[in-house]
Amino acid sequence: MVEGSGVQRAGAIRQLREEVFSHSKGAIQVKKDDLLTRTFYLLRPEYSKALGTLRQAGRVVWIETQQPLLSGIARLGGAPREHRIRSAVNIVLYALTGSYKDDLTHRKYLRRRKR
Amino acid sequence: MSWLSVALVLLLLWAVVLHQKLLVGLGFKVRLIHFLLLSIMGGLLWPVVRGWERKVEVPVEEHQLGVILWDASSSMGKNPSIKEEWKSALEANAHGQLEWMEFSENLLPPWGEGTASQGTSLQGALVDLEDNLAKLAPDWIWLISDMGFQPPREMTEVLTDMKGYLTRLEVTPSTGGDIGIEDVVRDPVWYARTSSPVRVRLRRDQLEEATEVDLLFHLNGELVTTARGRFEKGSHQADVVVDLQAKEVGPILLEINIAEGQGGARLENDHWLDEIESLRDRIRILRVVGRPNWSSKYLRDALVKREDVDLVDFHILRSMSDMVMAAPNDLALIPFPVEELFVENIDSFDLVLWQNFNQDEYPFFRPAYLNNIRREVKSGTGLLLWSGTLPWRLDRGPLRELAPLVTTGKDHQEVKGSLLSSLGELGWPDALSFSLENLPPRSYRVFKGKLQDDARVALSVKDTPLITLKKFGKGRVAQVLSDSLWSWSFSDEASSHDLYDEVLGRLLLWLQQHPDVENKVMEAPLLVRSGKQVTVRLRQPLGKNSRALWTSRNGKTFSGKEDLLQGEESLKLEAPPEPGFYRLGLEGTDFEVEIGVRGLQDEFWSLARCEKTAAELIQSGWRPLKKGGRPDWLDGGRSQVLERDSGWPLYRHPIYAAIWLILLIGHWVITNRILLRREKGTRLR
Repeated sequence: MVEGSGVQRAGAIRQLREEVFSHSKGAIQVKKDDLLTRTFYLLRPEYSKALGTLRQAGRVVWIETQQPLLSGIARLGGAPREHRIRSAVNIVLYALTGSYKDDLTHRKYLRRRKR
Repeated sequence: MSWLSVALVLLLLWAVVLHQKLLVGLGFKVRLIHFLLLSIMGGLLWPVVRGWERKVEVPVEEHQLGVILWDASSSMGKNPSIKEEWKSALEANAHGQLEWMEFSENLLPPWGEGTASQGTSLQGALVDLEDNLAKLAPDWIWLISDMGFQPPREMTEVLTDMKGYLTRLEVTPSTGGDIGIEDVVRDPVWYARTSSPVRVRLRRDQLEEATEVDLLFHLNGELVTTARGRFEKGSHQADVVVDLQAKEVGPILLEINIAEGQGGARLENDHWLDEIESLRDRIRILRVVGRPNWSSKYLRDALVKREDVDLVDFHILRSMSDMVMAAPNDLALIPFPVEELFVENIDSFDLVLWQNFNQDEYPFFRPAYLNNIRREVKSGTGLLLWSGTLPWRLDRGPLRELAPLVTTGKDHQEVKGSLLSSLGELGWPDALSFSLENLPPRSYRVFKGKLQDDARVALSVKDTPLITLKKFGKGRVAQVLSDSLWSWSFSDEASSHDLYDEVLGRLLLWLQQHPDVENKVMEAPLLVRSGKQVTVRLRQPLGKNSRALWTSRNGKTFSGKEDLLQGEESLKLEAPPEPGFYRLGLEGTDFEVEIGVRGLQDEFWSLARCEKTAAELIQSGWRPLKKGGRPDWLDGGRSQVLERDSGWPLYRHPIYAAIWLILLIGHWVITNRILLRREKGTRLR
């Protein structure tokens, strides 16, 4: 996972991504129903879309953020901080549980709750 | 002489009288021609009359031809030695020359559609026999079958046409109030933990009032269900259908009994036992992870990618002391459906996997759930305990009894060294053992504890167990004492990359008692016949003199007469006289195997009984020949008269009829000419 902000930082991230994943076409913005948005917290789209991912064989292998995540947690307060914490927790749990939240039991339950 | 013969003779007499009048005044030549014409016509009529009633005298010198229709689809038919017994018994009784015809009625339901597996169907055999009756000319026909013989509607005509030739020797003579298991229809192959229908047909020999009979169903000696069959008033049959499911894979013994005291006079048809092949397409695994970590993720990925695994996965993502400052609607968490999993559906899983989960920390996890797991393991489910980062206490509650190695939760240590695999129950292939033992020494975070007496170590690092195994009741428990096994896949050794998957695969096979990894110390046929000799082979020679002990489902022991001597590897044992499910063990050794002993099941018969029945029938003037007839050889006579169709084909031929018609027309023409001439007053010469 790589985080950053500003034009310079964004350029550095892109450069690093291209070095590691030379054949990639660029990070894809996380969609509303992406697994990353529901591994622990249900992330709101305005925050989840700040995450970009690369996938290989269905798995997320690269996550980048437009806004600093960890430094934001330390620096910011209120809702922006809370949402950064939530994004970070979801990323960690994705790393530890993989596709767990894509299991049918979870999907059915969450779909029912959304109704 | 029949009415037809009388009618024809009278007709001829009338014709002669009429012609005497007609021929008055005619010349000799005309009279002669007319007479010859009539004679030829009369002569041609004679075989028609005679043919109907032709009697053939057949001298019988001791021998007669008997046709035996042998029901090859019956249980006795499946056993060639039984047929040989029958043959020798009948031939020894000098019943004459025997022609054996086999038929099969594997056309279940009883007379329904299907394919006869052996030869023709009974109907086919009878039709064939009827067509060849004249040619074959059997003196008697026996139909030997073990079914309470009720021909289908369309066969009644065939049987009627067989007239008195056919004698049904039913091997299920009325015994005065008997109820038996006539037939059991089931799929030969089942899928483990999937319901399969079993239909039992009961038969009774008397049409008394409506009655009910209780049936008990056992799978591998374990009572799985009971059911009740009801005979309606006036009905011989009652069907019982139950849905059964086997938990194990491999050959399974299905045993059905009529409840004691309800089966009537004969006991041998109150019991039925056969083999079912149970397959498993997917292993249904329930995994509970107490706290996710890399080890749990790695195991999940390994399980998910296996095609033979159906994983129901639950991770505890919050502890009881967590403070999550979010509304429930902001969380993607679902309630842990404990009741649904551990009460309602626990019996639907082949394997329960407990990983890094300390149930004591969660008040919602009631002790009853662990007791349910214990019960299921005892009846055949697998349990895989996999350590993690959380304290791991297995020294109390039901898990203490289940765990091969009892840990106290605190002794979590780093052990570095090479692996040592213990060949044994897991049946490591040599290549797998070699790869494991040749892994470079590495550190493992290991929980230590006390190995239970009946547990075994399958893999260890130095002298510290890494994987332990234990059998509990009919089920099995495996324990992985480190959460670092995933590191094998990241070794520099290319050969170690698949080790994790291979070891996991072995564990899964062992836990589900898959025949592929079962290490049989004793090999014996799964089904044997009561009282017959059984050959048993041992993997290792007997270490000391011993005796065979057959222990039945209800604990009754039958001890064989054989003395088994030290060093023997192939043993010949006598099966118990009573049918049922047995555990065959060798006294003072670990050798044990499960065997089904079949009696005279699904057979309303016994050879001894049938011989007696046949003898009684003969003695009491049993008539296997035509209606009202009696074969002389029964009384010591040496010949007899049989009435048969002569089989003369000519008079049935169209040319024969055409000749007769031409003669008739010729006669009519001549007669007309006579009458015409007479009217004209001219004289015929």
